[in-house]
This record gives sequence, C-alpha cells and structure tokens, in this order.
Amino acid sequence: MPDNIEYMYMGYAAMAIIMVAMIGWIYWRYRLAAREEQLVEQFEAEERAERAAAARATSRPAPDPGTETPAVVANSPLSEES
Amino acid sequence: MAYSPQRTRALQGLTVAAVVLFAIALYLALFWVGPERTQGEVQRVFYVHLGSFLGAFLSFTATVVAGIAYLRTRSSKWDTLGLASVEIGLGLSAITVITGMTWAKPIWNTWWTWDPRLTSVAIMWLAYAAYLMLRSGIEDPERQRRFAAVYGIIAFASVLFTIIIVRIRPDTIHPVVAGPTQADPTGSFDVTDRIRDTLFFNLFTFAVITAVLIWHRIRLENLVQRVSRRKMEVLAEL
Repeated sequence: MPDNIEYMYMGYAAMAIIMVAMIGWIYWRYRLAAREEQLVEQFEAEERAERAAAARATSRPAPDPGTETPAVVANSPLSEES
Repeated sequence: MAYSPQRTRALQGLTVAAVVLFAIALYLALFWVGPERTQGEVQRVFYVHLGSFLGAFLSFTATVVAGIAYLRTRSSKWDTLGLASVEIGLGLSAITVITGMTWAKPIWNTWWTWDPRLTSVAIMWLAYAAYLMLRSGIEDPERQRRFAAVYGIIAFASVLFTIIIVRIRPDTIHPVVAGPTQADPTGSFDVTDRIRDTLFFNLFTFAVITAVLIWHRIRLENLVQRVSRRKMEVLAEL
C-alpha cells in the first residue's frame, strides 16, 4: 500500500480552511450588518427625539402681553412714572 | 422583516444536525472505513471530494430554479436565493478542486493536468465567479436581478458539461464513480460495502451542510438589504 497520508491530511486541511472561511465570512458580515443596523436605529431614535423637542418648542403658547409687559414698562426709563 | 420563531428554530436545529452529521462523516471517512488497497490513505479524500461536488451541484441547481422563479414572479426573494446558492456553490466547488488536486499528486503524479474533466470544472468555477462580477457591475437593482437570473440559468450548462464530459470523452483520465465511461481512467478502485456506506453518508451530510449554508447566507442577504433600505430612508428624511 503506498504511503501518502500527508496528501490526505493536506486535502482535509484544505477542506477545513475553505469551510471555516465560508462560515467565518458569513458570520463576520452578519455581525457587521447587525452593528450597522443598530447604528441606524440609534440615529433614528436621536432624530425622533430632536424632532419631538423641536415640535414641543414650536407648540409652546405665546407669552400673555397683559402679564409680562407692565412689569417691563414699569421699570422702563421710558415709563410715564419716570 | 422579522422571522417566525419556528423558522429560526428549524434553522438552528438543522445547523446542529449538520455539525453532528459532519462529525460522524469525518469519523466514518477517517477511522471507520479502512484505507483503500491500491491507493492508500489518500483515497479517503474521495468522500469529501465527491460530497462537496454534490453540494456544489445542488447549489447551482438551486440557482437555476431561483433564476426561473425570479423571471416568472419578479420576486426579489428568488434573486436572494440565486446569489446565496452561487456563493455557497463556489466555495464547495473550490473544495472539490483542491481535494482533487491533493489526490491527483500521489495518484497521477501531478497536481493538475488539462484533462477534459479538470478543464471543464475550472470553466464551471470561473463561470460562477463571473456571475458575482456581473452582479457587482450592474447598478440598477431590477436589471441586476434580471441579468443574474438569466446568467445563472445559462451558467448551469457548465455544470452539466462537467458531469457529462467524463462519460463521452475517451481521453479523460478522471475516474467515474457511477455510470458508463468510454475512457480508461487512472485511479479507479473497487468500491467495498464500507466505502459505499461512507460515501453515501458523506453525500447526505454535504447535502444538509449545503442547505444550512444557503439558508444562513439568505438570512445574511436579507439583513444586508434591510439595513441598506433603512439607511436610504434615513437619508431621504434628512
């Protein structure tokens, strides 16, 4: 029987390397895509929060002229008392 | 797109089954079956060589099915199957070629020869590598999917050619495991019961491994496409 066991090892090692490369490539790209999705989600959440804050700021009621203006007028150098 | 828990469990179960089957297949090929009388230990490469070729054949068959289904329905899920099966098929046929080379060196006294079978398998590998290049060269998604579907169907001719050539060309030295041949191959051996059982188990194992790898690759592609869509939506809103 010929002695060629090293070629058998070589064949199985080549198979193992290609298999590991295939599985590793799928796994690595999956991790990368999942991380990217997380970043997009995070960005979307920040955007939503910013928009909500901006919407709250624009929908805040305008100051009542009858309550705030007299105080300013009273202390003003241009008021009638001065 | 959210997957149903049943499908995810099925994929997990199949993955575990593939790992267990692979471990048993390795045990059978490396320990249970004895070394072949005339070829010695290197003959054990044959189980992986043929198993990986079966896997590649199933993958490229899936590409044809996906191509036909895409052209009929225009559903992108078939395009995803086509892409996944080509990538997995390329990996498995690379295993076929490299294990064949390691067997050829002690048996044929050369790593590679331009034998009709070896040449046709090299053409097959290059034809499917060109599929990936074709996809990356087209930007319009609909056109990319259509061209890939058509090319995936046409490229299958190289697979059929690879299978048939050892049966019709008298000048090949590549052994034929099943079916008639007109050639006088170098490196044939008698198939004992143990060799046959180990071979069938390895073939089955590689079929399961192929299905699992394609399924995982499809999930990866779905995730990549989902992330890409969400990025486009975010950019459009800005």
